[in-house]
Amino acid sequence: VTVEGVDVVRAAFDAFQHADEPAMFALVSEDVVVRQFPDQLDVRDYHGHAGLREMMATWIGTWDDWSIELLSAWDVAGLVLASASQRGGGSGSGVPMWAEVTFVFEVHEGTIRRWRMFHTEREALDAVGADAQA
Amino acid sequence: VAARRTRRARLKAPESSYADAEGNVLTLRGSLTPASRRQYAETLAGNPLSREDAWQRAVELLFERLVVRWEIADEPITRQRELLARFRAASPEERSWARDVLREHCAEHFPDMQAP
Repeated sequence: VTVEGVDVVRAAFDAFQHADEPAMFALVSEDVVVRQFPDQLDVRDYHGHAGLREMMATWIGTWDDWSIELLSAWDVAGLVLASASQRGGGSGSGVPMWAEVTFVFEVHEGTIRRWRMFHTEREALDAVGADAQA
Repeated sequence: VAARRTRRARLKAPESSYADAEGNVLTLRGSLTPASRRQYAETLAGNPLSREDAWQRAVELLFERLVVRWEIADEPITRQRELLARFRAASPEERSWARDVLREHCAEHFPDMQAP
């Protein structure tokens, strides 16, 4: 997987940055499973393109002028880890937010099939390690 | 006969405020319902496959139920949805500080509860 997987993830981010939703979703499997931070109280899986849209709308809708920037993406044990920074302002308060986030992607045949989120690279690597042991 | 209206003052638990080194202030309510306590205990006991996730979720539950205001750089956040989102987007240092605040607050106000 690997270089191809990394390229797919980079292309998906690039499409998102250019507000090209069709191009982004073309790189996401229709059966994608998306999960937010595992320590969230209401953590659950979001399924398919509709689920991804719902998850994104919920999170992005919390902020004004939300944006995300891909910092790096690399291959780990056949998965793609991607580090990104997000920023925005609270939609009610305007309090600025800046945060790093690490994603773990599973890419299969050119599309993202699984998408997970972690607060830190360490947490993401621990999850990847746990996957390998399972 | 004019209708007589009685206005009953609603009892409100005192709030406590905690400041970090940069002057950001977290304000927590001093009461927790029995249902919230039960849910906290269940969440803390939670997923045996990941004690870390169970603990983190229990912390998030306490944050959700107790925090009424978070003032960051003199700008207050008071809406619950935004408070929780800000906690989820907090830096590791901010999260660590918030956990310490919750721990201190629980020890002070709810000493019978298992600390987060």
